[in-house]
Parts: sequence; structure tokens; C-alpha cells
Amino acid sequence: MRSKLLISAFFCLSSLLISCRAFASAEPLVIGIDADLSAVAVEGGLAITRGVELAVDEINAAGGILGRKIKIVAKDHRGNPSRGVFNIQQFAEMPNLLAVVSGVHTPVVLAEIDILHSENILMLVPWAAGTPIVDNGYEPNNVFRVSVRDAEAAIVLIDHAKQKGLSKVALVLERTGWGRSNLESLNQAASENGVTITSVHWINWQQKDFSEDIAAIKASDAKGIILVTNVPEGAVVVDEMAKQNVASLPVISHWGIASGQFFSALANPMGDYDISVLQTFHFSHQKNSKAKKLLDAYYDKFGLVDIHAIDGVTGLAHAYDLIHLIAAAADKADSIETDKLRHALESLENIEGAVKNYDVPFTANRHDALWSKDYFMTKYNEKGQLVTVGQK
Amino acid sequence: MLNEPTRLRSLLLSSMIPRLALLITVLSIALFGLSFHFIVKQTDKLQQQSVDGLEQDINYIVNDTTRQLADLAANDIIINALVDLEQRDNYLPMFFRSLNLTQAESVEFALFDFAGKRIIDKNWNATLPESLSNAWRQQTLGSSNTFSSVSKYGVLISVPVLLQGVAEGALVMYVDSLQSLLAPYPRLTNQLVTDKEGNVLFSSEPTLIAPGIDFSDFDTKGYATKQASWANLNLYSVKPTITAYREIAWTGIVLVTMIAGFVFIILHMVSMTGALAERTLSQLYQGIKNTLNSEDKKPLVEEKQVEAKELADIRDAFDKLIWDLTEVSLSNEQFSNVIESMGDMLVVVDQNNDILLSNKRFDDFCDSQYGDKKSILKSITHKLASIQNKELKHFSVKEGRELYIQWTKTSLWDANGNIRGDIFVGSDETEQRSLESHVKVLTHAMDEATVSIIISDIKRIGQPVIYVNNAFEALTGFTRDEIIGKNCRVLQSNETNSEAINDIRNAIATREPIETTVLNSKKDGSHFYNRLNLTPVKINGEVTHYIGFQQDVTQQRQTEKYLEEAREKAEESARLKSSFLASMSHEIRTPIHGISGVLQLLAGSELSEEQKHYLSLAKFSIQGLLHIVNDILDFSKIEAGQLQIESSPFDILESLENLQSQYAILCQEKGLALHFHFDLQGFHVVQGDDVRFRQILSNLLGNAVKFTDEGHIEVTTSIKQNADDTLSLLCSVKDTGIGIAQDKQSTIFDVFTQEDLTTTRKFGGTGLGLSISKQLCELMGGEIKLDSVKGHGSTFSFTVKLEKADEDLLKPSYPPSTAKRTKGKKHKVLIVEDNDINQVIVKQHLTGHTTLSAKSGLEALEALSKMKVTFDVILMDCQMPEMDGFEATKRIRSGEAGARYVDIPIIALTANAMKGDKERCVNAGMDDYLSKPFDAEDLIEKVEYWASTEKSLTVYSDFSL
Repeated sequence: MRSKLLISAFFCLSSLLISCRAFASAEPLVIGIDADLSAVAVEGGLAITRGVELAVDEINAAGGILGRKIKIVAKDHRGNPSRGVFNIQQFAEMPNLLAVVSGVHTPVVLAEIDILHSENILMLVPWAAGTPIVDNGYEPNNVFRVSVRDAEAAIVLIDHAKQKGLSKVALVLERTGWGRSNLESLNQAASENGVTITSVHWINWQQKDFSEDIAAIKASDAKGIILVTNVPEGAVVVDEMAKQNVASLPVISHWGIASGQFFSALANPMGDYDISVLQTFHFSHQKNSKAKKLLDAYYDKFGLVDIHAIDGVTGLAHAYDLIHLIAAAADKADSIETDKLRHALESLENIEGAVKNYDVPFTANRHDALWSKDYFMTKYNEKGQLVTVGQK
Repeated sequence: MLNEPTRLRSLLLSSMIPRLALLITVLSIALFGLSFHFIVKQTDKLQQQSVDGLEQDINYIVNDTTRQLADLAANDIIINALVDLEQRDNYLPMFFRSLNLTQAESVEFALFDFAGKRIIDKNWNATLPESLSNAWRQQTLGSSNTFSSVSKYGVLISVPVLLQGVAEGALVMYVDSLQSLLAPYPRLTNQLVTDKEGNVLFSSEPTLIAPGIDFSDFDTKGYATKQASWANLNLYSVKPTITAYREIAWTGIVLVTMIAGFVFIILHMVSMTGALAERTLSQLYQGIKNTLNSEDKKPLVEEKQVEAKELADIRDAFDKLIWDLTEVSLSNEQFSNVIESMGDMLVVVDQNNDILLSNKRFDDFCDSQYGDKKSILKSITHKLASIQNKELKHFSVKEGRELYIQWTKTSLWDANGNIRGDIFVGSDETEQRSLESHVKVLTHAMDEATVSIIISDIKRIGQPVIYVNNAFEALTGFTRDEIIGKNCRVLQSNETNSEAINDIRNAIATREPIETTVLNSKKDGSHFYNRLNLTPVKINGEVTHYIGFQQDVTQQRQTEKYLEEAREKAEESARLKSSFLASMSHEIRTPIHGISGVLQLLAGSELSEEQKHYLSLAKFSIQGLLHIVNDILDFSKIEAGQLQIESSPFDILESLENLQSQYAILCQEKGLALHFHFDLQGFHVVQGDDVRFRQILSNLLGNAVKFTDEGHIEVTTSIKQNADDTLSLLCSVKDTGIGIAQDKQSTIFDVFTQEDLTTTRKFGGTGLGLSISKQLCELMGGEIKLDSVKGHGSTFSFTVKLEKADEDLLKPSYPPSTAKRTKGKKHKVLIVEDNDINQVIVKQHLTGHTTLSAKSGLEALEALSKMKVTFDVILMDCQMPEMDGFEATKRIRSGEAGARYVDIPIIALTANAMKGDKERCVNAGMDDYLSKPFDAEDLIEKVEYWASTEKSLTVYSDFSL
């Protein structure tokens, strides 16, 4: 009895060991996620994670990359660049790392640029829009982005202001690298389009009082506000507008406020405001087959929801497309070595994505896949959901 | 007490002193014991307070610093700095340099990131042991909690910098020793802080115990210590024992002094009390003795001295006892006096009905009756055997009438509550009975009176009605029950005249009688005029009631109202008639003027004799017409009250002579003799209305001539001086004409009345002349009378009042013939006249002069100012369109037509003959006045006079009509 048991235990153990050995060469590839999963842009982080998961599910279901399954390792940087750098260090120590998908925050990615290159890690950017993230001065460049590029975003935001007949606008920017990168591009776009920037207002992370700045804007002749902040600061700005009875002043926002539950952060109903938000993807805008597939997969995995109620839907689609791009690149390179993968990414052609059909997603000199023509403006409806302009 | 050999004071002292000594000794011991206990306790409490204070200080430093650090950590600049790696160096150092949390000098700050890496610091030199370094990182960065540590390594406080509830960094403060944080505070005792090993971390008295040494090495002998613990620290208060006992010694001295003082005071008080009691008791004794031995009722103690209340009470009780004894003897006498003075009869009987007591009234009563006292009493007791009171009739022999006596029986009780007999009290009600019947008679009379009577009690609230009679019920419909108790206001209706009500109210308020008529309403709501006569009723000089007599005068009221309305209507129609006549007369004058003017112009042309005769007939007719119109005008002026009597000096003799010469011709034509007799008493210049006087007289003379065919007419005038210095003029006109029948004489002065219609047919006339004369006489303070016999002539006589006047006051009239004039000289005349006919007539009359005409005041002004020729005189019509003559004159006088015309003679032309026109002309600045229709001669004369008169002369103008 006892010997029988021992024997069976031995078999079990040995079979386990054997199986480990058998998979040694086929250990899963790791795709890292380095995003804010708990602090200020949780919804953005979650959307990115879901986009990655849905793409990975599809790829794994189709046999994985180079015959290896893909495993997702997510690390939370809470929007703190120091944590981000720390996370990258940890990813650098992981074997089988294919690439790291970054989060919402530009400052975090900017802080990570040096270590990404020193450790030669590929960074896929589905959200952070700072121009210097891609134009980082490194050659070769390890950062690839399917997202908004601030320099391009500025053109669209200023153009929208112009279309709304707002010849004079005030800027409200967060006091970080992201805010500064936008100031530069907005200044340039404004001067090119004949829009006057009446004043520039900075807001600190977690700042709670913005009354003096709104009073100044109210007193100035600004006809609208261009907002470059994340949800907590955006809510402070907009609440203060309502408090000073200028809720009706049009707000043209970069998509930072779409990274979280902006609607529930407000003190007043959304119907009081006129807020338009820059977006690159919306299920009611993109109606290609890939987008439909993504939506079906989303419904399957996360349940049926109103398409307007999917938070951070751009992050979802960008991450989804990026994973398919890196998978295509790995297939093309037939390797997971960083240099080969990078080269493959730079030479991909005609890839069908949810956001768009990528003729040539990236080249050696162009690591941004989306440009101003790919952006469009959305509005918050009364339920606080983003709808494409013209939709109710 | 009298036999006691010792005095009260000595007794008190000797008995109290030993007990007092014992008490003080016990008290002193207890006090010393207690104070020792309290001082020890106090010292202990002080130590405890010191330790508590120390604990609070440490607590405060740690907690307050932690709180300040936490505030800082929540600052968005700090949070932003954690995520803004690129640019934070631009603002974080400046922010950090400005930090200062405690008073201590060697404070070190640092901001750490999530991994415990120092981002920035201020004075950071801390060399911390591994354990402490790990401890705060684990607590603050790992668990997001604040952390504080006080140890031999110093004081360290760290707080997390939170982002969404999780530490993203830490703010740390470090001070190398507790000594430097706590030192500056003043201390109650020597204070120490040690760690658990006894290392001194803080000492308030470093000279005694230096920080850093081991406290267990310190010799605590001679010191009291108190210990407490706080976190991992021990807190001590150390106080030298010797200082505590020094305080006890001082307290002892104070206590001994106080006890000595008490002993002295108590001894003195006992002695004083003894003396006081002794004195009071002796006085009381002396007082009682005096009272008992003498009849003197003086107060027992004359000199007021301080004494106890109890003793005073005892003495008062004695006094009262003595007083009562004296009183009892007096009361018996008073009792019998009271009984005798009673108005009622009183008799007291025992159970056998034998009289025990009776007063004089009863005795007198018995004397007035048949029978003796006993039998009378018997009948009374018999009748009241079973009842308490009853009214009995007794016949008084003395007074010869029935007496009504109300008897009341009461039982007589003795002190033990047994009935000993009865008390009978009888009061005489006879007067009251007779008054009652009197009142009944009066009430009946009032009830049955035919005039409505109502009585109100005005002393009660609401002044209710207390009586109404049958006539009132019949008049108003209210029954007694409905009205009594209410205010008689219920009779008022909404239409009741509030003025009358106020009058009534005021009368009642001032307690005056009032008689008035008010509109009241009956019960059925119908209204009636109530002639109300309210009379106050005075009782004891004060008005308490009002009696109202009411009478329904509705019928009478209505009749009065009808009469009033009828009178108003009659007056109104008379007024309308006069005003119609006046306006008609005025309207008629204007065309008459036209005709008269034209006739005058005709007369100036060449005519055949026959034509001249016709012309004179026409002129006669015009004068007759004018006369009638003037009469009507006068009459309507009188009716309208507009006729004013002048009062100016005139020569009455001259007036009479003028009339005589005027009528002498007429009489001569009819073959009548005319005689004038004067008796003027020398008053030939008098003050009065010459014109009106002449009007009256010529009326009478005219009538006399008219109605007399043969015989003579006599005019007698006399003046009499009255007592009040005024003059009475009596004038009579006697004729031998047809006379007036007796029955017509009374109406001969009425308007439009002639003797009969045949007279009208035969003699013509308006019938206004006598009426006007009568009115004029009355206006002049006189009267007119007629004395006539039909067929034998009439005598009209009238009187008027005049006043004396001085001859010098007579206005010199300008005699046209004497004025300096250059006949035939051509003058330039401006005629201002809107009526074309009149304009033509005036122009024709003035053909001897240069004339120019204007149609209105405006045209005149224009002509004057524009034409080069200078006019000598202006004829100004008064009523004109655009601008009337008054206004034009004013403007000329004010220089609007140029300075040369300011003084130009202006003659008014007016068809208005009403009083006031003259004044208006003068006020406007006109110089003379011509009334239409005027004679050509008058016109020419006035024009020539004024054209050649220097204006600077004082000019009197004759404004007579």
C-alpha cells in the first residue's frame, strides 16, 4: 500500500519534472504592462490591459508567436515615474520578454527612455502622447507608438477651436513633461492657425484649488479653454468653472480626461458643460471588421455593455493593435531578439487593425503609427459617455 | 436667680473656659495634621502636574510636528514633484528651503521617493542606525502610515506623501536630540526623559543631571521623584525634599497666630454676652416690678437699649396682659351703648320668652302700639315661631298709620353652645314701602305716555338701555326684551347722519342735554326721522342716566325738504331769467348804437322838413328803446346783486335844478304846473349816489307827467340830520293825475306791474320803473311809499340815506366850453374798433379830423409802431377779438408801441354798461370812457378835449354814463 503510494508519488513528481524540461525551449513569451493600475488613471490602465489580453487571447488561440504562448505580466507604476523606472528594471531581468506596453502617463514613459535603451527593451506605447517619447533622440529607437502624438494633437485641438469660432483660448496644462510638451506644440499650432492664446495656466498633480486661475480666465477675453490634464485635475478645473458660473465656456480637451471616470469625478451634471475630447478610436466611428471582432471579443470576455460605456476605449484599441503588430513583426523576424523585432516592426506592411488599416505602420524614422488625420473630436453626452461629434 | 450669689457673667466665664481650652487644643492638632497632609499631597500633585506637563510637551512636539509634516506632504507641489522628475529641480529646492517647523536649530528635513531614495533635503546629516532607518521606511513607505521615534538617536518623524491613498514618497524630519527640542520651556520641577534603559534623553536642569548619563547612576536620596511612561520613554519629575518641609514650617507659624487670635476673640465675646444678658434681665425685672406697683401706663422702659428679641417679646406679652385686664371692664359699657344706638329694634328673650334685654328703639315702638310690651312680644314670637324672618304689619297709634316691620330671629347661644333664648331684630320698612308704590305710579305713567321714552345707564359699560315705554315699542317696533341691555345704537342705520351722532356723543361725554333730529331705523328696517331730546339725570351731583324723548318727525321732514327744493327751483329760475335779460339787453345795445349813430349821421346831412320829422320820430323811438333796455339792465343788475351804490360828493341842489329845468319843458307842453320846494337845511353838497337819486326822482316825475293830464305836479325835498350824523333825504312827488285804486296800491311796486292792462295800453311803459325805484331806495337805505286815491292823483314819497360832505371835495368837472381848445384844428385819431358799422359811424362823426382805424389791439399796436405820423388820441373799443382794449392799452402804456405813445390819451368805447367796466378801464390805463350808444357831440367833444390837453396836467375824468 505504502510502496504503491510512494511509487505513484514518484511518478507524479518525475512526470512534472519531465514536462518542465520538455517546455524549456517553449517557455511562454512575456509581454509586460507598465501602467497605472491603482492610482489616478486606473480606467486607462485597465483598458490597455484588456486590449493586450484580447489580442493575446486571439494570438494564443491561433498558436502563439513562433509557436510559443504569450504570458502577460502587469506592473503598476501608479503614475509615478520613479516606480516606472523601477518596473522597467524588473522587466529587464525577465527572460523571454518580448516587449513592454506602457500606460497612460507621458512623464513615466519619458523617465523610462534611458533605461529602455540601456537595457534594450522594446516599448509599445498605446496611450502616452508626449512627442519626445517617440522623438527621444535614441538611434536606434526602441519606442513604437499607436496613439496620439501631442504635436499632431495640438493641430487637431486648435483646428477644432477654430471650427467652433473660438479665436481666443486659454490653456490649462498639468505641470509635468506631458503638459510642457503640449504647450510647445499648441503654441506652434495656434500661431499657424491664427488662434490667440490669451494665457497659460499650470495645475499641479492633486492640486485642489484652481479658483484664481479660473477667475483670471473669466476676466480675460478667452472664448474657450484647451485642457491638457488627467481626470483628477480636469475635474478640479471644470468644477471650478461651474462654481464661477462659466460652465458654458467651451472646453476642448486632450484625451487625458478620457483615461478615467471623468463623469463621476464632477460635482455637477455633465449636461451643464460643453466639453469636447480628442479621440482616435470609437466603436461607433471605426466600423471595420477588426474593430467588430474586437468588440465581439470584448463582449465575450467582459460582458455586454453599451459601446459608449467602455472606458478608455482608445487604449483598448491601441493596445490591441500594437500586440497584433508586434506579433506580426515577430513572425516576420522569426525571432524575439530586440534588434530583429525592431527592424521587423519598421518594415511591416499592410496590417489590418482595429483603429485603421496600417499600410506601413512604422518606418525607421517614423515610430508613430497614427497622425492627425486619424484623430477626431468627441463630446460628452449627458450620461457622461463620449460620443462622436454629431451623435447624441 | 435673685438669691444666686455669683453674677451671670462670672458663671458663664468659669464654665466655658476649660471647655474652650480643650476644644482649641484638639482643633490645633487637627489643623496641623491636616495641613501636613495637604502639603504632602500638594507636593505630590505638583510633581504629577510637572510629569503631565512634560508628557503634554512631548506629545505636542511629536503630534504637532507630525501634523505640520502631514499638511506639507499633502501639498500638491510635493506630490507633483514626485511625478515631475524632469522639472522638479526648478521649484522643489526653493519650496524646501522655506520650510521651518520647530524652534530647534538643528532640524533636518528630507523628501524620499517610494523606494526610500532621498530626493531633496535640508540640513540632512542624520546618521541613523539601521533599525531606525528600516523602521520608518517600513511604516511610512511600506504601510503609508506616519511614524515617529524618540530615542537616544534623536527624534525622527516621517509622514507619507500619498497618491490615491498609497505612499509615493515620504517627508522626514529629524532632530539629533530631544534636549534641543524641549529645552526652551520653563519647568515646574526638574524634569527628565529617559529611554527604557535609563539613558537620559532630556534634562531640564543639565547642571544637576547631564543628558546622556544613565539615570540609575543618579543618587535620588533627598529627592522626591514621580515617574510616568510615554511610548518607549520614562518621564520623571525630580524635586528636592527639603523644599517641601520648608513650606510646612511656614504654614505652622500662620496657624499658631490664628489660633491665638481666636482664643482672645472668644474670651472677649463670652464676657460681652454675659454682660448683655445680665443687663437685659435686670431691666425686665425692674420693668415688671414698676408696672405691678403703679397705675402708670407709660412704656415700661423709657430708654431704648439694645436687647434680645426674646426678652422684648416677654415684656410685650406682659404689657398686653395688663392692657387686656383694663379693657374688659370697659367693654360692658360700650356694648350697651352700641345696642342703644342701633337703628333697628332689638330684643333678647330667654326660653320662656321673658325679656333679657331690649333697646330703646324697641321700647319706643312698644309705646306706640296698643297693648303692653309683653303682649306685643308675644305676638311677634308667635308669628316667628317657625320661621327665621317675616314682615309684620303693626298699627302705630302715635302716627296713625300702618308700620311695616321686618323681623329677624336669631338663636342666643351661650359659651358652651347651648341655646339660651332668641334675639329678635326688627327694621322699619315703612318708608321703603311708600317709595315703592310711588315708583310704581311713576313707572305706569311713563309706560303709558304717548311720547316715546328711553333711559340709558351711562355709568355701565356699553351704556345699555334700562327702560323703554310702550310708545317706544310702538314707534320702533322693538320690544322691551329686545332693546333693554343693549345700546340704543341699534336704532342707527347706515344712513344716519354721522355729524348728528357725533353731536350726541359729545353731549353725552360732556353730560349736556341735547335736542337733535336723526335718521333712525325701526326694527323692520324702515327709516324714520327721530326728533330726539336727551336729558341727563343727575344723582348726587353726578350724571348717571340719560332720558331720551323721541318723536317721529319723518312727515315734517319730508315737507320741509319739498319746500326747500321748491324754493331752490324758484330762485334758480329767477336767476336764469335775470341773466337772460342782462345778456339780451347787452346784445340789444350794440345794434341800437348802430341805429342811433346812423340816425345822427343822417341828421347831419341835408334833409327835407318831412325827412327831418321822420328822423326825429326815429330818434325818439331809439331813445324810448334805450330807456327800456336801460331799465331792464338796471333791473337785472339789481336781481343779480350787481348794482352798486356810489358814494361821492355831489351838489344836490344842482341836481334838482337840472331835473326841474328838464321836466319844466315837458310840463309846459302838457299844460301842467311844476313846483319844486326845497328844505335842505344848508346841506346842498352831500355824499351819495347822485345818478341813482336822479334816476328815482326822474322815474317818479316821468310817471307823474305821464299820468297827469291837468293840474300840477309838486316836488318837495327836505333833508333831516339824524342822531348818528347821517342825513335823511325825504322827497315826494305829488300829482293831480288819474291816481291808483286802493286794491292795486300794494302791488304797484312789483315787477312788470302797472295798475291794470288798460294802463299799459293807454300809457305804455315797461312796468319796471317803480320796481327799480323801490329797489334803489332800499339799496340807498330808504324806502318808497305811495299815497293815492283813484281819480284824485297820487303822492309818491321816498327816503334815502346820505352823508354830509364838504363842498371842497366836489370834483371839478371840465366844462367843455372853457377848455383851451383850438377849434377846427385837425387831430390825428386812431380808432380801434372791430365792428364795421361802429367804425364807420365814429369815422363819419370825426370827419373833421384825420382818422385811421384798426380792427384789434394787435393791429393798433402795429399801426402805432409802424406809422410815421404821430396820433393825438386813441379811441379804444373794449371787447375785440385777438387782443382786447384793456390788454392793448396796458401794452401801449408799457411802451410797446414806442416811447412817444406811453402817455397818449386813450378813450374807451364800450357797449357794456355794467358796474366794473369803469374800474377796468382806469386800471388798464385809459383816460376817459364813452358808453355806446354815444352822441356825436359827446364823442367830438371828448376827442377834441383830450387831443389838445397836456397829459402832464392832473386830469379828472368824468366817467358818468
